[in-house]
Amino acid sequence: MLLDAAIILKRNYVSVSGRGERWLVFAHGFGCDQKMWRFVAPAFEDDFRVVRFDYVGAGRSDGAAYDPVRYGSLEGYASDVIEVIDALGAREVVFVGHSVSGVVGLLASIRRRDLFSHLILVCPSPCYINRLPGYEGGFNQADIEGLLDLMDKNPLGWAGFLAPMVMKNADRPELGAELEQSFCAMKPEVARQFARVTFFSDNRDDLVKVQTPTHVLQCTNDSVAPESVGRFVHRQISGSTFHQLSASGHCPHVSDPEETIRAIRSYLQAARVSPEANRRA
Amino acid sequence: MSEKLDQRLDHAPCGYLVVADDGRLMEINATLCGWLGVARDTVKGAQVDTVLTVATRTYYQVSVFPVLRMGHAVEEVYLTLRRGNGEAVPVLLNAIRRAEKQASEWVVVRIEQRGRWEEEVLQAKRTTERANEELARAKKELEQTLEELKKSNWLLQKAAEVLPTCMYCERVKGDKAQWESALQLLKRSSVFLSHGCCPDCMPRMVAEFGLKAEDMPPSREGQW
Repeated sequence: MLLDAAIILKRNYVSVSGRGERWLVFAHGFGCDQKMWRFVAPAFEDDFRVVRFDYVGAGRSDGAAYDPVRYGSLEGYASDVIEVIDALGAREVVFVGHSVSGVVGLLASIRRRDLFSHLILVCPSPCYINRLPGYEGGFNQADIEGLLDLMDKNPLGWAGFLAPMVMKNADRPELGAELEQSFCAMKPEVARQFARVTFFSDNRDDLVKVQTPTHVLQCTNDSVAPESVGRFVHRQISGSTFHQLSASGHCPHVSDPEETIRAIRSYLQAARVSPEANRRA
Repeated sequence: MSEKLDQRLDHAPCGYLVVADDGRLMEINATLCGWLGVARDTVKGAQVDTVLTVATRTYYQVSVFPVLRMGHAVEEVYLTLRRGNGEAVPVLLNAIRRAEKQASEWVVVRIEQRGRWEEEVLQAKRTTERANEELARAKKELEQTLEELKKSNWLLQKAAEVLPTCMYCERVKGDKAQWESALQLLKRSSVFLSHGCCPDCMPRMVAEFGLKAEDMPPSREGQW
C-alpha cells in the first residue's frame, strides 16, 4: 500500500535541513526523539540534506498512527525508515542510527538495499540479553524486567518528569522555545512496548545479511551496549569498520557531540561520501 | 559558615552526589555511603554505574542523562541504587545540571517503605487493568450473542404474529423490511433446513432415480 508522502512526513514529524546532493538521515534510539541529534545534525547541513524524524509513538509523531501490531517488532520501525526515505524521494542515503536504531537501519537496508549507501551505527546492539555460552549482551531477563518496572514507576516520565523550572541559556536561545514542548515525551504504554521490542529483540542472525558498507561507533564505559557487543557487530558485518570513541556512556551525540561529529565526518570522508572528498578525488 | 554547611550536607538526611557528564562520580556524601555500605574512597572517581542497578544504568543513560544534558532538571524520578552487597535501594531523585561544571548534582531520598506501598498499588492497578480487559472482552462476547439471539428471536415472534405476504408473488416482508421468498427468510434464520421429499413429489423422485416405491423406508410422517 502506498501512503501519501505528505501523510508520512507529517506522521513521522520529518524535518529536512541543509543543502547538498546527498542525504544524511539521523534516527533516534529508544528513550527519546529526534531532538537527541540537535547538537550533531547541524554540523552537516553545509554538505548534506539532513533528515531527522520521530518514530511513530515518539516525540511529535502522530500518536494516532501507533499500531501495537506493526510496532510489535523492530520490522515495524524499519518500515517507518523505508517509508520516510521513500516519501522524501531519496535514494542512497547515509543512515546514522543510535542504539536500537542502528539495528532498525540495517533491517531496513536488508529489505531495501537501493535506499542506503552507508550505515553508521552509534552504540548498536543486536541483542541486549545474554545468550550464554558465547554471547554477552549485558542484560539478563531480570534486568530488563527491572527496567520495565522503572518505567512503570515513572509513569509521567516520558511526558512530564521534567522539573517545571526552565534554565536560562543566554547562549542558546533556541532552548527556551523548545522547552514549551515536552521533551522525550512518549505515552507510557507505547514506551513500554518499545522497551520490550528493543530489549527482547535478537537480530544477531541478520548482521550477516547486511550488504551496505557499515561503520560502527563504540562508546567507552557503555553499560547498555558494551564494547564486546560493538565488536561482535563489526565482526559479523563483512567489510564493516569500527571506531572507538573516548566519549563515555551510551549517548555520545549528547555527552560529546564534538567527538561524534568528528567521527562521522572522518568516516564520510574516508568513504568518499563527503563533497570535499569527492572534489579531491 | 560554608565549611559548616558542607559538613552538614555530608551528614544530611538525604543522599547527595555529583555526577560528571562522562559518568564519573565526583562527590558522594557520608549519608549515602552509609546507606550503600561502601567506602567513599572506593566509589569516588569510579563510574556512577557502580552504585546503580543494571536497570537504572540503562534508564539513566537513555532517559535521565539526555534530559539533564539538554539543560533541564529532573524531579521525583524513581530509581534503584545498588548496595555494595548487590541489594537494590529504591530512591527518588531530584537532579540539576551545572553547565559550568559539566556535572549534575543529585539528591536522593530512600523510599523503601513507600516503595513497598507503591508496589502494592501498582499490582492492584495491573490487576484492575487485566480485569477491565477481561470485562470488556466478556461484554463484547455478550453483545455478539445478544445480536444473534435477536435475529433468531424475530422468527419465533413472527410465528405468533402476522407475516405480511404479497398476494401475487407470495414473497414475504422480512425482518429488515425487504421482500423475499419465505424460503430465503428461513435460510437466513437459525432454523436448520434439511433435504427431504414430500409424499406428493415421491413419484417424481422414484421416476428420476429408477427406484421402486416399496424400496423406500417407511416413515412416521409418510415421507423421508
